Amino acid sequence: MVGGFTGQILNVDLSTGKHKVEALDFQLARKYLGGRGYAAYLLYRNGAHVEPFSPESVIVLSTGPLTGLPGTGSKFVMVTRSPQTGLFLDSYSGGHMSAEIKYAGYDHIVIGGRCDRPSYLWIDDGRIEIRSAAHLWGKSSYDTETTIKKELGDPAVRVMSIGPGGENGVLYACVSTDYYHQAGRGGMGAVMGSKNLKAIAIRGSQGVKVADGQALLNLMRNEMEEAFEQSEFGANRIRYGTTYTTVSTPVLGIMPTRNFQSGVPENIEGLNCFTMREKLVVKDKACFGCQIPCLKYSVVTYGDGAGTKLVGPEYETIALLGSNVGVYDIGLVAKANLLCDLNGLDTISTGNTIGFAMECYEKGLLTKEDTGGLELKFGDHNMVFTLIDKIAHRDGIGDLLADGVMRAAEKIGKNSSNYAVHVKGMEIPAYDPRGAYAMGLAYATASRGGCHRRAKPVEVPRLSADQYSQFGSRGNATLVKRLQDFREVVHSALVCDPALRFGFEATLGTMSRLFKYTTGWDMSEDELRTLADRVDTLIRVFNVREGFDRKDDRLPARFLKDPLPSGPAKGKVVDAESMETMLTEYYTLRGWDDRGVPTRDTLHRLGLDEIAGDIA
Amino acid sequence: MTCSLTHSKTVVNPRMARIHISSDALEAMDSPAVCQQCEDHPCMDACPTGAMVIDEQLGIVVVHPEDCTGCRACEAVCPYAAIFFDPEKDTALKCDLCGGTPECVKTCRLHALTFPTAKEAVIAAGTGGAEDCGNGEDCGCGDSGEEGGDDR
Ligand code: SF4
Ligand code: SF4
Ligand code: SF4
Repeated sequence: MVGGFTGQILNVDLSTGKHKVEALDFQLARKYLGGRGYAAYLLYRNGAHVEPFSPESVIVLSTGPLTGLPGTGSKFVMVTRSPQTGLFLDSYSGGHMSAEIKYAGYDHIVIGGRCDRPSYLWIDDGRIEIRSAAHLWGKSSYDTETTIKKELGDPAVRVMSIGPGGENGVLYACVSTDYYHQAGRGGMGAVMGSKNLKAIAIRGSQGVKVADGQALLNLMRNEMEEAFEQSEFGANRIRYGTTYTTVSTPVLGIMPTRNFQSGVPENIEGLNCFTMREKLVVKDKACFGCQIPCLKYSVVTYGDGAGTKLVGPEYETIALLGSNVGVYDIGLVAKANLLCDLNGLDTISTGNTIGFAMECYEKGLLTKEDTGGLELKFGDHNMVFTLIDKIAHRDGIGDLLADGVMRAAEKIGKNSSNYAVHVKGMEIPAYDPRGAYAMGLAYATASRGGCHRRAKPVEVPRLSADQYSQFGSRGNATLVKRLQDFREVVHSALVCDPALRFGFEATLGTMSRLFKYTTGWDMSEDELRTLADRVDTLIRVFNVREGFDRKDDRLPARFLKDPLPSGPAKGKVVDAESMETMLTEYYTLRGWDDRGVPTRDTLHRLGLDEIAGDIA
Repeated sequence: MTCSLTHSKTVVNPRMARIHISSDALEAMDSPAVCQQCEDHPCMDACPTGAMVIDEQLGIVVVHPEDCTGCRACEAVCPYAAIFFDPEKDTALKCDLCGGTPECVKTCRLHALTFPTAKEAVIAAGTGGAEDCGNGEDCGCGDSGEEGGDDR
């Protein structure tokens, strides 16, 4: 028996209320592991051009062979076709839900159909029930979670839910779990909303077998502990979590400021990790199984943010709901974060979109007539709070902004698309590629659009200038592919990649051993590299099948045309030539043709012959 | 995780653990519960079947699952809420100190769990010595059980 997996896939049809348990295919599991990889296979098999908001669309809720086991922090992923981009969408979240899914007995849960009225799904080991959510519709994600725990009579039940944003089809509505964790990006919450699915509650009491428990414990206790002690990032990761990035990006001059008009925040002291630690953080918290408690439980006791309690804000949120909208007080950012969480909105897209609206207002492209009398000014935190609420409820100007910057710019017209900072419809997070061209390639090639979770090569090119060029193309394709490949493995495993990289500075070698001790499989580093390539290429084929190729692997106008006004990257744009060179090199490394389409040879090498016909 | 894996050798299942952490997520309060190995062992005194006995070597109460009926008399009297139940067999689970060297203590990287001497039987977590424990229920240490790992 193979360890690590539960061996079961649960299929739920919300339209009929029926479910069926299907056996995991272990041959496919060896090809794709779990998480992102196996879920991509399951989504692919659901067909092409599926309308995200139709009953035919599916949400694949996935774990992997390392999830819920000793090693490091556990994650789950939700996979669907994004309503925001039309691309493959994978949204990750930490907390404790991931492990619970495994203990309930499932590697994957595939949810299709549509409930005829507001409902939630209750999975108690093998008992599956669709229950009314009439009393929950309209409630915040926190209230929903608390109410469900109460009515199921067990505070230990895990809940994931949507807020008003998801109910109202905001194209960047998120899914929240354990109150403070979000599968944030790409509109997963809106897809749940379209299915009338307010929440999913899960409780599991079953065990997961491992191949060599003692070896697993030893690796975790001894070697990973030692790696941690020697890690360059380890201590800062615990003390500051992701917010430590507020130290590095301002130095590079790439922290989004006023809708990416600058990369140098005007007052970073108001937002940085030291200020946050001192003013807000009262406790360190961790996801299931994690030895690196990077989560920061914060309480705001002063000013207009007073009364706010949450885990966060994380770096991305600090940048997008802070400097990007001109707000320089960490307590106010925390409050904006909480409002997004309660409403079920992705903080990155929300902050980016509000920044865009404020710049449009500044430039006269949006006027008081459009905004219903509101003055959208950078730095006005009350306006940020107001807009979050309006977006979630599609109220007034919020309706326009709820569709994200790409669609809003199409409607506003004039030259507003010059200020819409997105890739393929997904708003860009908190690293400006003008100060690190490799990041431009990472954005252009990320499978879900403007996303930093596939690769984040912002500092490496500067630190290893002999191998990579910070303002040019040299070496960057190799770097981006390598970083992406590591994550393909970790996100299919499925555990926390920051914990592995910034905590234990783990390599594919470590992963290979973790797989050995959990599943019992001997997976060499080469096998893992091929697996990474296979997963990446399968997802590329999915996106090509939806009509995407090189013409779409582009950066927004702002990064190509507007030079950064100050800081170490002053005067820089991502020049077109570097971009094209990086793209061509990258496609070559992946075995894709000049249009960015995987070749027949590549598909054959990766064991993907059966899908070659789909993109011929 | 460590607790269940150690006792079963091959299966990770926090519900089989003998140490649990309950959390109030909104207030970020995490309270680990684990047996304090009381001298006066009210649990054993309450047990009607004799399923609880003193282990000669360690001098602590251990459960013989074959004699346990799942009546929960022990659970009702335990002042530390430190008795749990096997979800399948419905028999009592309590900390047995892993025969003298608690495995959970070896796993806790943050050293929120300490173990001065076997007889003192203090896993500091249970007495509120766990300020360092950042983990909620079911964490790697407690064992019931953007870029963060989240999406932002
Ligand atoms: S490093 Fe942070 S995000 Fe990752 S598992 Fe640990 S606590 Fe969670
Ligand atoms: S189970 Fe409870 S009552 Fe029994 S010895 Fe342990 S702490 Fe005391
Ligand atoms: S549950 Fe088992 S151990 Fe506890 S009192 Fe009843 S018989 Fe004794």
